[in-house]
Amino acid sequence: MLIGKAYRADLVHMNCFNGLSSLFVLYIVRLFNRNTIAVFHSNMNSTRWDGFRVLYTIRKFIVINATTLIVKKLIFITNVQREEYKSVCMFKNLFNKKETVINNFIQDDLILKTRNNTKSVGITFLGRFSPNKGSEDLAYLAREMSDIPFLVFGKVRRSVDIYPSNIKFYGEVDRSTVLKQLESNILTLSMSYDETFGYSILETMAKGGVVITTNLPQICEWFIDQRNGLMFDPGDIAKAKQLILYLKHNPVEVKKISRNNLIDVQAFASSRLAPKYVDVYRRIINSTII
Amino acid sequence: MKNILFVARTKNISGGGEKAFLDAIQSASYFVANFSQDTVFLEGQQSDSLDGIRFKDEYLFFNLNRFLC
Repeated sequence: MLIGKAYRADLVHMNCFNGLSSLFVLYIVRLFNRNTIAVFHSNMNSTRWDGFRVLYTIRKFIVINATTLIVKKLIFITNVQREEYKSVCMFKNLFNKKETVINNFIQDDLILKTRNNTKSVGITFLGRFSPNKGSEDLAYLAREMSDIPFLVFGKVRRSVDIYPSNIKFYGEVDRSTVLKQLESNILTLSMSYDETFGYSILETMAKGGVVITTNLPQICEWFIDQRNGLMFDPGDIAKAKQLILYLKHNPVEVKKISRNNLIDVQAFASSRLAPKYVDVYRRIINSTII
Repeated sequence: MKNILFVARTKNISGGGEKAFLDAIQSASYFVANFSQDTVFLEGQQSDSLDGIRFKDEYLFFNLNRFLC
């Protein structure tokens, strides 16, 4: 089916380039001389396990070089991500000609106009519950703050019994449940060591939530400390605790940040950013016709 | 008539990680809105976890996970 559709397509949009298997599909498509664009949503990094770092870098090197040679457009979701890929690309001139950055975006109708509920019984943990997203740091923090419930969504690979009882595991739920949760509790926490963009932070902002997050460069590119939330160094659990207590005792600050986020998230509404993809399609298709 | 073929991974949509598939749907929606004579094929698995997302009849879904996982 893929081959048949690729044969009939004027343009093929490979939406998530995340490994060698993506290259397999790309080269099948290229057999038919179709125009292709590759959108990178992953940074293909290994963040905490040194043993894998070399292998991940080799994979990244192969993928970006093989892709740069044959696609019409390379699309990244942050400037930091683009530079990371560029650093391992041998064809810098070609890369520069083909690359562009289009940030992640969120559906307009998911963005709240106002938020009245500024309560936070629990604090929602953002991201998958895995070490590179800060799961072990959360466990440590939860032991330090045993009076605060921390809410975790998504699959957990290890037994939940080993974690403090104030971490509440909800398992795999649909997206609407997560979004409702973000409307119920205003405080969220991201302890991640690695992000490509930080989409769950954007979701929180769309719901007028307040984010306490690690100050990764990919996030700092579009998220302003003190205005959109509060930031701390990855692994600095004491600082994370301090920021949580600060916001718990400063409802005025929470309201101010919540309002800021509902304003600033508009820059990432799909009505603003999705047309950028349309522009890319138009240019590629038109250039082919000419 | 122009055909845009989307190849999108649908795994881990509700996991809180990348929401690439949602982006694909959004950009596909805008393409359809801007090129009414054109057709968009959106590749991926239609899933309950995508509730709240509007699907257009002209989208065609199938599971590409075996290629992309």
